[in-house]
Amino acid sequence: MRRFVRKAALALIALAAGARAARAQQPELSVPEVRVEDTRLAAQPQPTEDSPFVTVIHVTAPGTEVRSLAETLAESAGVQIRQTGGLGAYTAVSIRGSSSAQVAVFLDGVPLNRGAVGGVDLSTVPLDRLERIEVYRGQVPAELGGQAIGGAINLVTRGLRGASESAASASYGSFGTRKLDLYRGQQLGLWDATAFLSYAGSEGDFGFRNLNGTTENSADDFADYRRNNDFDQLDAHLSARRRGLQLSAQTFWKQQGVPGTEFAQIQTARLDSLRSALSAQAERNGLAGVAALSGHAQAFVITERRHFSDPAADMVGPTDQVDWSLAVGGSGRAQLAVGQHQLLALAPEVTAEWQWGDDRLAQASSIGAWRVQGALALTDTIALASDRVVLEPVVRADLYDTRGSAQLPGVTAPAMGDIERSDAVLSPRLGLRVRTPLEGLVVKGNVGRYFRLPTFYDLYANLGYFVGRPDLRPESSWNGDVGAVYERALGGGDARVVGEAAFFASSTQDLIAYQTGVRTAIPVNVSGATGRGVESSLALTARSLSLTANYTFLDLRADDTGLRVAGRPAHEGYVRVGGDRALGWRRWRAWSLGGYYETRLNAGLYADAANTIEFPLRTYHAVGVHVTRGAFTLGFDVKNLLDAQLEQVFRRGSACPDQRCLSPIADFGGYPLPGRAFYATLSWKE
Amino acid sequence: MKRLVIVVMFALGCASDGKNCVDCKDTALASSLCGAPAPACGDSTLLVAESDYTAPGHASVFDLGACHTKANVLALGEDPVLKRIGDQVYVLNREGATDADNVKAFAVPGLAPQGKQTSLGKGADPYDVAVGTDGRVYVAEFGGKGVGIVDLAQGQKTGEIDLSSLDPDGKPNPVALAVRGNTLYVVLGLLVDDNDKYTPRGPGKVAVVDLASSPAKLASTFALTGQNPTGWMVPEPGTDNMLIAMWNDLSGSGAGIERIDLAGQASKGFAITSDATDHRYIGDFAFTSDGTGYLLAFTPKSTPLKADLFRFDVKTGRTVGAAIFTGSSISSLAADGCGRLWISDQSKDKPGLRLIDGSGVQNQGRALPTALPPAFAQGMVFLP
Repeated sequence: MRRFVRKAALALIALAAGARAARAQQPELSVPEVRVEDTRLAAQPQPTEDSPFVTVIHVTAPGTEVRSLAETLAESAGVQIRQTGGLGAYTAVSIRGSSSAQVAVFLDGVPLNRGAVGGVDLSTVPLDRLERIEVYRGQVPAELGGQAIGGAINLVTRGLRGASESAASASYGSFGTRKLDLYRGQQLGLWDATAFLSYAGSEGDFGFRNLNGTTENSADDFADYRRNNDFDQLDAHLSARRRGLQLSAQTFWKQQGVPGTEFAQIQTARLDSLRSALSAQAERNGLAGVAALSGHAQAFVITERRHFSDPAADMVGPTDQVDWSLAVGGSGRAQLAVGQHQLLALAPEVTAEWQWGDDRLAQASSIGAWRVQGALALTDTIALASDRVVLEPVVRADLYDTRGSAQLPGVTAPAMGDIERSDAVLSPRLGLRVRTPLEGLVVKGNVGRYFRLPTFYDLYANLGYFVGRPDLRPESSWNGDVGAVYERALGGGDARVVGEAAFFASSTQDLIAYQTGVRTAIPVNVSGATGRGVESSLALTARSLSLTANYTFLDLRADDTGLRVAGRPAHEGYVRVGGDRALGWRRWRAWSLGGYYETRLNAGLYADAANTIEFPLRTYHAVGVHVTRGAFTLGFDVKNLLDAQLEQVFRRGSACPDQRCLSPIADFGGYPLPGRAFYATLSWKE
Repeated sequence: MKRLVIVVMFALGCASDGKNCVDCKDTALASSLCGAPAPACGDSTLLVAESDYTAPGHASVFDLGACHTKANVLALGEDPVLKRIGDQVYVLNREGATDADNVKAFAVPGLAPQGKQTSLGKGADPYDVAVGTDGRVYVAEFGGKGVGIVDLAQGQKTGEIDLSSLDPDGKPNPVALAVRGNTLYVVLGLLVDDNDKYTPRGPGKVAVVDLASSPAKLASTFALTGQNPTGWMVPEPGTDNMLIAMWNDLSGSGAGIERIDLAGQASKGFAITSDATDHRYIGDFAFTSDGTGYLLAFTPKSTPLKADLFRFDVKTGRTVGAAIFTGSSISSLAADGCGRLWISDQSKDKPGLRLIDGSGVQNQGRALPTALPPAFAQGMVFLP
């Protein structure tokens, strides 16, 4: 068990990534007659027009506040975000209690999950270049793949509105945080071209209470600050669109410190990441001269390079490790309107991914694996009962061929030969939505099967403590939900309300967990988990005011013990109110004033599988104001308004007073979150 | 019948918090134990450290007579070990994310905290604890310079016995301690610390520390025969010698159990070698009150780690008979005063305790359940 926990943290931070397929956009079935309605690329899903429960979050960027993708995702019910620190720190997403690796994440249709680890570090996706975020909870469209036990998040980048637009913003704030965004969009002939460049960085040196490794002895605690927690990142994105065609190029670079736990802060370990992607999408109606036939195709190539170094052996010994991955893929979708009330869609997909790495100190290859995937999805959309009822059966079949090359054996690991593995997974789904007589009210229900393949590291790792197992079974899950969505314009179209309530349930089998043994940690298939819960949300916009609120109840329990799964709160809530108002006074007529207040809370959260460590109710508050004059906006934000950094954690059997131990607030044990922070942002747009 | 069960649980102090009680009557061996009176031949309870190593663990009390577990009686760290010394149980919490590198103590019986949880500092990685004749507490710091001296009453580390000169990397990897009078014996692994494989540089050593001097200082050293000592020293039945497992390079050769004469400050070579276990290295071993030896032999480079339980004769250096039990992820042994052997089984699908009684009866099926998997090393102590 020596240094296992540190290694787990290393794996968490340094190796986050994972693999999946592209998404084709689906034209909507529209009542009363079936027609292919929306020919724009990246058509936006509608909560009342899609069978899955989906939340669409619109992003105003470059914004008037310092805001991360993680903070924004809190606007969706059912989504849980966990971070190892403040801005720029490793960020994991969970939907309906899933693991991070069970959530498929796409950026303009390009899958960001890599085969090496699985989960996506959301801190590597800047928010400000996005136009909207689509969160599919529990059930996902067939085009978003089968490896989505929790759901899928599709991130859509900004497109040009009008003939040209420009924007820029600069921010500065606590912990040496700085940020600069530049955006330009312009029509160039038949093309709409956009360019986005962003820099963000922070020292991350926030203060916290160091427990000195003794949770039960507060007398030896001391004030400390986070070290080696800095980061700098650059993000560039170019896009060109014309009717039916979109080309994109994006690159993201980040260098960051790997700070370790509060008690064992690490001074020198660094992680550099570089991700570049090219993608092309095309779509066309009236394929092959058939008016009822439409098609969509997408191709992408994405590379990632990660360089982890720990020259002082602060974490696991001297390390100088470079890992590469390369993925190429293509997908298509052909859709045929059959009569007035039926759409048939066939979507093939192919992806290939390579992963390799070099241990520069040992001058040896650390891992080499590749995976080829082919998939075929057939979707039928049938409108019944005068189009009030829409039935959507889907069947998707995935075939995977995975190979790993022989690795240098570790001290305790067996020598492995080349490994070949094939997986065939079927993921059938059925969606139903019923338009009720009450205008704007739609009742929906879904059931489907999803899966997650073992990662390359699960299968082939031979890293000393972490030893892979090639015989692991894929995780699988049956998901189901039923609920209602209400969407309606109010007050003559000036105001709009969207409300939603859903019950969901899932049964997951063959979860992959690491079993720690004598000098090794190996992955094994353990029993599953059963979850059920309720999501509710309300979004209200009226003139320049907006209200977003959601609440999620989750009861997720391990099948073998019946206890709650650690790290997944039973209750999560979110409220954000905001608004803008022009000042009517004479001298200030050109000015407007705006602001927001945001709060998040969670409760019923355990730290351990035995449910002996329970966190108290956690609340988080943020507030911001901004003034606008002409093209310029100046904003001020206060995050963690009440400076919540410590909490009384119940630890059964501890020697703390009333068994409640004072501890820093953290999502991941040992990784404290920052206290109150102030930011100022100056932005301009035309 | 249901009422009877409730009454029994209440009598055991669990009725008020039923979710912390684990009933083991559905296991094969337990059916022969449940309802039996507590054995009069020794301690009546077994304190078991449990952890899945991803979050802080805890300890449960297993009633040896009633075959009943009361879970979560003590909060522990992510990687805890337990050691009973006299009327105290010491807890060493090793490297973890939140509760790490510290020591605390509890009274026997009652498990009331004694003093404060005391930090050993970042990276200390405590492996063993010993108490001097003057009551001072010494902790072997596997990741540190030597042996830490702690004052639990004050909750402070008050000193250190620096043995860093004995290892080129400054970390001599002490794994086991023993006190004889005013002398502290420290078994050193002398491993290469600057990689994550902890390969041995050569034979281990025993550092002999004079506790009578102030401050305590290194008096002498003597070399061990084998490499990579692991676990604690165990008295050899009927002799003054101590025994300790040597893992060498985990290949299954050059390993075994080494015999150490502390008073004579000399290694007496291997009591049993890996040749006797068909080239498997010995993970843990224990002796029951009648002197019967049991050892766990690990198959090198097996995934998951395959373990075979053998009886062995320490005098002849041979195993006795075929393997009694074979499994994976079983790693730790403890013998009670009734001639029974307790085994910690960490396997994900059936974690818990396994039991071998004096006649060789064992619970081959599902292990006696614990709330979390039992810790894989030095996680069981017997209490009155």
